[in-house]
Formats: sequence, C-alpha cells, structure tokens
Amino acid sequence: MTERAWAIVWAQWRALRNMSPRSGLAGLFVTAVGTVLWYGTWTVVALAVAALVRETVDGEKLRGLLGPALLLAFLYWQVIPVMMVSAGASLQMRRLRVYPIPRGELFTLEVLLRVTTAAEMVIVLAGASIGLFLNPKFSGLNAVAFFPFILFNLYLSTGIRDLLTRLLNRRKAREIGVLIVVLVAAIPQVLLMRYDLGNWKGIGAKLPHLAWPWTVTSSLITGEWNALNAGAMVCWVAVAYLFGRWQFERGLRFDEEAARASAGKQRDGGNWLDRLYRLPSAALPDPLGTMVEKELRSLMRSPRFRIAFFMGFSFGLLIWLPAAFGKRGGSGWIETNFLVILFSYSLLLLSEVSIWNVLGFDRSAAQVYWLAPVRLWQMLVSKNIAIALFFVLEMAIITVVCALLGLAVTLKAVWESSLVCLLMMVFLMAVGNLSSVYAPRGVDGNQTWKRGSAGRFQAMLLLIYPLLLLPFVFAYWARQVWESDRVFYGLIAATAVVAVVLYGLALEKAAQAAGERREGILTALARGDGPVAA
Amino acid sequence: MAQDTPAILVTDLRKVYGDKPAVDGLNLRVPRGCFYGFLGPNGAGKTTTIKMLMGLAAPTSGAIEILGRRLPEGELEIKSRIGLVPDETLLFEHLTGPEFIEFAGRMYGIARPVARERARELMDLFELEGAKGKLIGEYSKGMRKRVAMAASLIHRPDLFLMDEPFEGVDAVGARLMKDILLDQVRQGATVFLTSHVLEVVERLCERVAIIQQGRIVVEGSMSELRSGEETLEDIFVRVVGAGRFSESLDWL
Repeated sequence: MTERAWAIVWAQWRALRNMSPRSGLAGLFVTAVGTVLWYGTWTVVALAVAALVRETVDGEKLRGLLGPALLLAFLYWQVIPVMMVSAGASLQMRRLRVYPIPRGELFTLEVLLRVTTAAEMVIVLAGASIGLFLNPKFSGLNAVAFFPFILFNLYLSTGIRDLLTRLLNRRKAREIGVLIVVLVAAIPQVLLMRYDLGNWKGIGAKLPHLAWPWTVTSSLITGEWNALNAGAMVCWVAVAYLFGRWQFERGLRFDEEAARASAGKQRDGGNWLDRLYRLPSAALPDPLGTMVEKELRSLMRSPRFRIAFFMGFSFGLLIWLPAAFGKRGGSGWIETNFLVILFSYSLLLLSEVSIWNVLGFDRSAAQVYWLAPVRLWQMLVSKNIAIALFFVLEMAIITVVCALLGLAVTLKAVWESSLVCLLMMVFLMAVGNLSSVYAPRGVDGNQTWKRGSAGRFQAMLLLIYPLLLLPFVFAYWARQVWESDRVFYGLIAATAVVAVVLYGLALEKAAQAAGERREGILTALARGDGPVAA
Repeated sequence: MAQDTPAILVTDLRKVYGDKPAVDGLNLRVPRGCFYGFLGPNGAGKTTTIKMLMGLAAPTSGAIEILGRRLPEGELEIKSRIGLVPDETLLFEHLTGPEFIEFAGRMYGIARPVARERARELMDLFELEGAKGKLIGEYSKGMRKRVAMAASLIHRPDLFLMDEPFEGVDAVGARLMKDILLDQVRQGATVFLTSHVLEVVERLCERVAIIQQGRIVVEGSMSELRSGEETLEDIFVRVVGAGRFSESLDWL
C-alpha cells in the first residue's frame, strides 16, 4: 500500500479511537458483547466446518460438500447485503475525491473494505482451510484455491455495491431498481426452498455441471489442478475485477445531486399525498399533530426510509413466500402463520431506520425540539405515532399482496398477526426511545445503503430480539400445547399490559434523559464519519 | 507549465440538474497571482461552479482548464496544486484539528513527520493551539473554517479555491485569514473565493465576477466596477435586483 492508503487507514484508526471514549461504557459493552456473540457463533461454525473437512477423505464426497457450501458462501456475500440494505464499511468518496489520490489506490482500498460485507464467510473459509491442512488425504496447500474465490467475491461485491448505490440514488429508478435487484437476489432463495433442504448436499448435483466459481474452487481444493479449472477461476476473477473496476469508475464520476434532480418535481402541496400527510393534524392536537405530520413528510422523502419500507413488502414477501406456500402443501407453523413472519420482517427493517435511533434523520435540526415550546415526550410520541402509521400501512400492503397471490389470508390471521406485531412494535419503541437518547447517531437520510455491516446489525438483534420475542413465542407455544385460543389471547393480553406499562416507563425515562443529555445528543447527531464510513 | 496561462480558464460551462440549468454557459478567466471574488445571490450557481472546479461535480458541457491543465485529464496534477476550503461537510469530524491537517498533508504526498510538524505549526498560526485535543465535530463554525484553511495551506498550493471561507468566522479570525491569504497572493498564489461578505471582497479582491442564474452578469477589476460613489454592495444590488420588502403582511 502507498503512503496515501496508509494515511487513510491511520485516519480511520484515529477516528475510531477518538470515538470510543465518547460512546460511553454501556455502548461499548453492548457493542463488545454483540460482536463477540455474533463472530463467536461464526467461529463455532468455522470449527465445525474444519472438523468436517478434516474427516472427509473421499475426494468426490468433499467436492459434493464444498460445492454447495461455497455456493451458500457466495450467496451470503452477495445477497445478504441486499437483504439487509447494508453495504458494510466503505470509503467516504465524497470527502476523499478532493485529494490527488490515484484511482487504482482507492479501488484497492474499497475492494479490501468489501471484506466487511461478509467477514463471517472469511472466518468460515479459514475454518475450511484449517480442516484441509489437518486432512490426511489432501494437501493443505490446496487451500490456496480459496484465495481467488475470496477475490472473486470481493470484486463482484464492489461492483454490485457501486451499481446499486448509483441506481438507488436515481429518484424514479430507485424503487424499480430495488424491485429488480430483490427479484434477482431472491431467485436462489426460491430455488433453494424448492429443493428438499434435508438433502441439501444434492443441490450441487442438481445444478448444471458448469465451471461455476464454487464448483471450480471445490475441484481445486481436492487437488484437481488442471488447466481447465485454473483457467476458469482466472476468468471468473478477471470478469469480477473488470465489472468491479468499471462500476467503481462510474461511481467516481457519479453526481448524486444531478441524479436526485433528474426526476425532480416541485412539491406544490396540492396533491393527494399532501392531503394524507395532513390527516394526523386533523385528528391530533398541536403540537403533536404538526410533529407527526412533519415526520410523515420527512420520512417519505428520505430514500433510506423509503427503501426499508419498500423492501418490507417486496423482498420480505419474496424470501418468505416459498415457506408460506409450503414445499409439499403442508400445514406447518410457518404455512399457517406466514403473516406474522412477513410483518415481523418489515418491522425489523423499519425499526433499524426509525425506531432504534428516532432522532437520526433530524441530525442538527433536532435542536428545534429543545428550542420550541414542546415537551420532549411529545416529540418521542410523535415519532412513534408516525412510524406506527407507516407500519400499519405496510401490513395492509403485505396483506393485500398475499391475498392477490392466493395465499390463505383470513380475517382472523390478519387480526391476530397485526395484534402480535403491533405489540412487538410497542416493545421495540420502548427500547428504541431509550436507545435514541442514550446512543443517538446522525444518519444521512439520502444515503440509501446502511453503512454499518450486516453482521453488526444482526449482532445487536441477536441480543435484543430474542428477549422481546419471548412472550410471543411463549403464547404461540402455549396455544400449540393446550390447543386453545383462549390461552393464546390471555397471554397476549398480559403481554399487552406489560408492553404498555414498559412503554410508559421507558418514555418517561427517555424524555427525562433527553432533557438532561441535550448537549451530548446534539453533538452526537451533528457528527460525521472518518475516511471510512463504518 | 507556461506561467502566462490563466490560473482558471472556463469556457461555455454548463451544469444541468434535471431540466434546470444551475450553471448556464459560464465563461471565466482568472489571471495568475490574482485575488478573485466570485459573487452572486443564493442559488445563482456559485457553489456548483466551485464544485466543478474542485472536480467534485462533472460539467454537463464546456471546458475547464486549471493552471494550464484541462479537467478531467489533468485531474491528479491539478488536485495536487490546489488548496481547497470547501463547505465544512468535507471535514472528518471524528479527527482532531492536528490529525485532520496531518491527514490532508499526507493525502498530498507529504511525508508523515513533515506533515505532522507542519500541522502543529499551522495550528499555532491559526491560533487553534488551545483546541488541539478537541474533535473537529466539537469545533465552532469559525474554528472549522480556520482548520479547513490551515489544511489547504499544508502543501503550499498555487491556487486556492474557497467556498465562503469567512462564514461564521469572528473578526480576529477573519483578519488572520485575510492576512495569510494576502501573503500567499504576494508570493504568487491565486485565490478564487465565493463570499456573501461584500465588504471583505471589496477590500481584498482585485477582480470580481457576479453570477446570476448561472451566467456571469458583471466581470471586471474593482476599479472598473466602482465608478463614482457606488460601493460593491450597491453594484451587487443593482445588478442582481433587490428583493422588495412586502408591506402587505399586516400581522408582521
């Protein structure tokens, strides 16, 4: 790496180091526990893979194992970021473009940062390499074949990220683009679900025997170093490099403002959408009404929020539909309760952008809540009401789409799923209001991608979601065991009481903390990133 | 590189957002060693122009030549010879002042120990020594401008491109910054700045251009423009057209 590249790495290290003491001990603790849990789990998976590879001495069997496993790794690397609307860490090109840095250096750094999109897969591949070294039959040196596979994924991931970033910044093309991308991304998922997962090793056999990167890599791993395999892998890496570099160069020349303005239109305030925005003001007294109206308007105008909202009823449906239809027409829990799953997934996406960090999109403008004669609990409630309205709309859209697709959508199922998910939302908002004032973070509403890694996001969910879901899981379990709706609704009613009480207590605490921590909150919301947005 | 070429030469520059031209057939010639003021009302196209000069936005059409090299072909060489004071969003807020200046220096290819030493000296020069340990995110607006200007000086550029460099800066800071810039011009550098503070432009700039709706409406030396008793503010208001105070708002 050159001096400039080291300078970027150095500045990012300093930025992270400077940030840490200001995050507070609690924030650091939660991050550390989440990270350890998440990557710890993947380390266990890697050890299991290592043991499996060590014990498999039959070449055909090892190829049969590795082929599908590498296909899954490829899908994880390329599909999960799309699913979580998360691109991992990336260079702050807008800020670095002003310096005389050769494009090749920036490209190399950006490619290296793509490891953050799926660091989990690097851990698993490391496990497979260890297994290969310990395998008595195959040479450990064959593990070098994982390197071009990783390189292929890094280049491809760089290209996909840049392509999507540009696509998602075009106002009119954004939603259509997302739909196309999620359709493409969901195809493997649908295909996988169509196969019997109990016999997943057979997937490789069912796929056409072409020189895919995963099949070629698995052949190389088992020692089949011939010109065909090596040539095929070189070709894959070269194609991925050319695609990545081409998209990266286009990304460097991309003008976000021009793209956003390309389909720009005047907001004259006289259309039907505007009348919808005004509805809360008619039903709620000011200042609550006007604050809800402001939230509805600004959230709908934020690409980041719109994508999360759109993904809820597009990608969510696509990935869960195969399960909802059932593989062999069965009537398992998923088939009968698919609406709860679809609603929960959309709630998960919405919560990330507008529940955990309710002040994020406001950034410095949030100071208006401390300057205007409004109570801070009103501010939090107004944001919660706005997101609740969006969530209700999202559930309605999902229901209609499911009904149109011919799924068994009964009134009882809609009512029950809505009730359960609205209660989940209340729990999330209780925790979210607290996290919003104790760990606020400025978010760029125009930034379509989530900059943090999908892994970190999932790490946090790993801690909080199981806790919040526990009462609901218990209610469903109880209904299954006692075969009684009364038991189910009794437990849900009890959960509702707990949720409301918890929400009230958390709201009071959050409003109090917002008053006491105003300076810290505003400083945190005004802050930007280092050379690498992570 | 020939020294007789202008510092900035812009020909028929256009930048269109959607169907609205932000810059519409702009022609500009900034001589070397000149203190040049680029003025205009809000939304006139100043920032879009300066962003195109900085290489942050691509023109829809037209040509830009900086220090004798054309953009985008000579992008790397041009960037290494210009000092930027862009809007404050380009600062890294999780770095301290000295860290950011050192980072900027290293981006311009200055060796780390030299960049560190210069960063320390520039912090002192801009009277920021008391804020050495603070993050830029915790700086006031004026301090951010000072640190941005300090970073723009670290590689001794031939041309300064500055977007509102005095915005939010107190009188002492503004004087300091003006003195440093004047000294740079005396040493042969060129300064191209946008500013809403007309008094500052009037006092510092040798030449001025006023842009409105993406086109240059007035361009010339200060002595040419200031005929008679008119101040730069009078000229600006006359050319751009003053907004009328509405007396129809009874409640106001």
